[in-house]
Amino acid sequence: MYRDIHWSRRTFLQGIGWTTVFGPLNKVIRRNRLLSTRFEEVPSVGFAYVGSTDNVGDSGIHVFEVCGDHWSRKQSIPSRSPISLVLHPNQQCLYAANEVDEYEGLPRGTIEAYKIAPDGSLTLMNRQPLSLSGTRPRHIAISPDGKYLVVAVHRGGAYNLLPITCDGSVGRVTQIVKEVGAGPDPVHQTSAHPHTVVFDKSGRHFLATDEGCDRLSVFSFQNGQMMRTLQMHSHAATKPGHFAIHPSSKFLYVSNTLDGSIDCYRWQSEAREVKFERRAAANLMNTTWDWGRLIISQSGQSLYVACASENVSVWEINPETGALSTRQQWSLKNRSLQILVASPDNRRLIVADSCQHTLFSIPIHAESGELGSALPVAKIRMAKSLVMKYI
Amino acid sequence: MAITVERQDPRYPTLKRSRNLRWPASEADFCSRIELCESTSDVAEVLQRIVNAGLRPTVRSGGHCYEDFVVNNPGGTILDLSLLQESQSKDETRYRINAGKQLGDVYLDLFKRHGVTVPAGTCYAVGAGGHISGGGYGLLSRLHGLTVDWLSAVDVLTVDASGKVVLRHANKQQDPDLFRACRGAGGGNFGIITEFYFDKLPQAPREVVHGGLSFDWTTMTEERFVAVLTTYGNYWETRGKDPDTYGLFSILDIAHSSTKRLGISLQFCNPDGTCNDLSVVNEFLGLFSSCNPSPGAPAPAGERAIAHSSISGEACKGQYPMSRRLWLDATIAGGGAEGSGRAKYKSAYMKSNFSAEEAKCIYRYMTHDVPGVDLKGFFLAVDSYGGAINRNQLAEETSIWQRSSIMKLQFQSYWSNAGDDAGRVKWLKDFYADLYSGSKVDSRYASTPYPGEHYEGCYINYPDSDMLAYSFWPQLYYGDQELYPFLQVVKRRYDSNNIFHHAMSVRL
Repeated sequence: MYRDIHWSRRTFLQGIGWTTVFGPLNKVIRRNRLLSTRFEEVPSVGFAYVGSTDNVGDSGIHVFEVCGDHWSRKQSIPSRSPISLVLHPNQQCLYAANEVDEYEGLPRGTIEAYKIAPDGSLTLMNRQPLSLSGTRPRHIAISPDGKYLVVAVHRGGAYNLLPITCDGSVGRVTQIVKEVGAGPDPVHQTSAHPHTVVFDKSGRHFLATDEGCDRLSVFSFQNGQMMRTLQMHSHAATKPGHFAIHPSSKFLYVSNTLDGSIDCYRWQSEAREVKFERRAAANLMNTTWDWGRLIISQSGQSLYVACASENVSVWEINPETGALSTRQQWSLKNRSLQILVASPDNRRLIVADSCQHTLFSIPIHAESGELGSALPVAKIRMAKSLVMKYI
Repeated sequence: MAITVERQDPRYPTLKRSRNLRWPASEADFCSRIELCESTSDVAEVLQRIVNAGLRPTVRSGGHCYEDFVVNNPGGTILDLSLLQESQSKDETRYRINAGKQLGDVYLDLFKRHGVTVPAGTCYAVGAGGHISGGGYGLLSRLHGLTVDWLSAVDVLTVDASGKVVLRHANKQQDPDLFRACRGAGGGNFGIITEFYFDKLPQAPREVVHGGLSFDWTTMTEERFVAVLTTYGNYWETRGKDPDTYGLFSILDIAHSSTKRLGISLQFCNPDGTCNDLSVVNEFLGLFSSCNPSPGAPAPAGERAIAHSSISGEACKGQYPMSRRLWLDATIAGGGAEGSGRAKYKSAYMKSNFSAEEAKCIYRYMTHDVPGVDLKGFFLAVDSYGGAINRNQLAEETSIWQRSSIMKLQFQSYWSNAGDDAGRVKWLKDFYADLYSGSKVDSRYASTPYPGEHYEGCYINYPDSDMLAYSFWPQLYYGDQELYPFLQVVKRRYDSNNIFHHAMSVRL
């Protein structure tokens, strides 16, 4: 149960003051425990799995025991560039997409399957190559029934479908859809680059963005087969990348990497229609790699995006029109922030700072959706993906 | 209209696979259909359908690809050009070869109609599409160069950035970069060639002589073996560079001693296409007199060297010995054309003679048995090279950069049973790695004939997926100068979505 905190400018500044006063992380963690008990009578307990793509030596998947805002590293497993992580619906397996150009001499990325032990630790079950020329996967999604993985293969310009076997390991690619196209930007859009895939709630469709072609696609998914049913163009030269589906399934929000905007589309799943609704936000930032991961609160009330190096924007969503209105501009000085995930209880945002290689936990006010003081929870170089499970 | 063969079609089991029966390696690699195209418009229409459906096309003309580049196409479509008809054109001033034509038919057609020929290969069932786009060389290449050296234009279907199929007529004036890439970079990279054009072609020789020598493995010694190899190599390094020898092409055929076959076969004609003066041949054969030769070339090598099997195919259990084969295999093989077996290949270009170290290494592998591995069916063909091939300016005009070699080696292993795959492949891999780890090899590139003073890498039309283990594999096939970066630019320009790809295609 949370203590009701009024998020004011004073509280925000105090939070900033705290984070700059405390020195070594271990002191901060001790403080975190105090803070955790301050905000939660019963802190959420579980595990966090963080994928880092650092070439220096920290590349891999790191397992943390989580108790509220207290994270302690439990295990680190070498893994080549785990750019995207996803948990099986049964929470007993973890899947990672390896953003690599070759595997065993052939031009293809890979997918890894890990078993999660009761203590949260990981054991690699198998590694499955993607289709030939399926290089640099960017994102994976798991079907709601837990039977298939769909992979957005960024550089290879394709989608791959892989079955999940009964023991949770990943089978060979069973279907490939190769994309073609280009966009107006001569540097970033010379060919198709699928970016993000998300299943809708029914599991009968998944949606995908292609930042190379300025395109959104809808695929039907039945009997282990995917079929593209709709392809539509976004605004030209925008590079639609990350997106999130509103819990109502009425809207989806797409962040555009090239022009720093967010577009709102109306999604009608039964009709398999996606229609552009409005430009929800514009000119949010200069582009950086992989900007614009969007998180929508479970209530559907708020949308969060790290829209500039130091800032996280909090938007209130109009449930009828999908329009966004600014609620809060939250910032953390001298940082380069990327939102990774919302905690499973939706009480925190976990963001990565690539300047000082730190993960921060930012509490979310339950009613307003605004963000509180950031608390560093872990040191990880180049954290790119994260999933959490609470027990 | 293209003929579609899908999984339930009785023709599918035959047409889904390569002539090399190792491929496709598993059912998971099977294509979903084969489209047999009879015209360029068929090819264009099918290709557009494939692209629109998000599938992968691979292309086959004769089906002789050594690796699985065509038939390993899970769920994709193989465009088979073997039924391609001659296109109707009013241009009678040029010679045209459609990509689906087999070399044997090409020779017949060109000879009967025009008295000319192409200096292409000796395997008559090989399709022109793959053979010419990877260079195209054979018994007349020392005299007349490579087939791509004579190429004037190609018709090629590409897929532009938006996914639209475009038919291009590429030559030195139109899409010249694409044209150069089509002159030897290998098939399956940039698009689908449907027609080759030649403004000129060499006159076919009026006559040729075939001859050779055989050597007895049972009395062979290491010393004599080294003498055979180094005598052979020395000739091509020295006398073989004189133009009067250009009509001489020979193959030093080295099989494992268990086959008892070792010898030299040759073809010769004078540069004027006659055999009026055989002094060059006699001089060449005379060099080996001290090596105890027997007159006459060894028995034909290649797939006829498959281990004793008067009955090919899958053995049927029963009262009487029988074998079971797909109908087409049985019919075509019985007609004298090449049948199909399982095979593995490697290649190397040599710029200078064998060293004693290399010759001894070859001797060692040819005379040692390996428990559990039947080495009959292996032979190393050391082809003469150079002559008219080695005109350096052609390295700039084509995508065959190897213009300094005097010999071209093809390592070939043939067998019937899938159970022998692992042992055969490993043995050849070990042999090759050992041979190219000696003092002539820069240690950075050990186990490969990396381009340098002694070697000129490997031949793209003898692809070897083992080379993918090395990050420098593109340099093995395309050299370490400007050619590979050039091909990558062409790739980005004409196939930015990488529609055409295989395990060893040019990377974007």
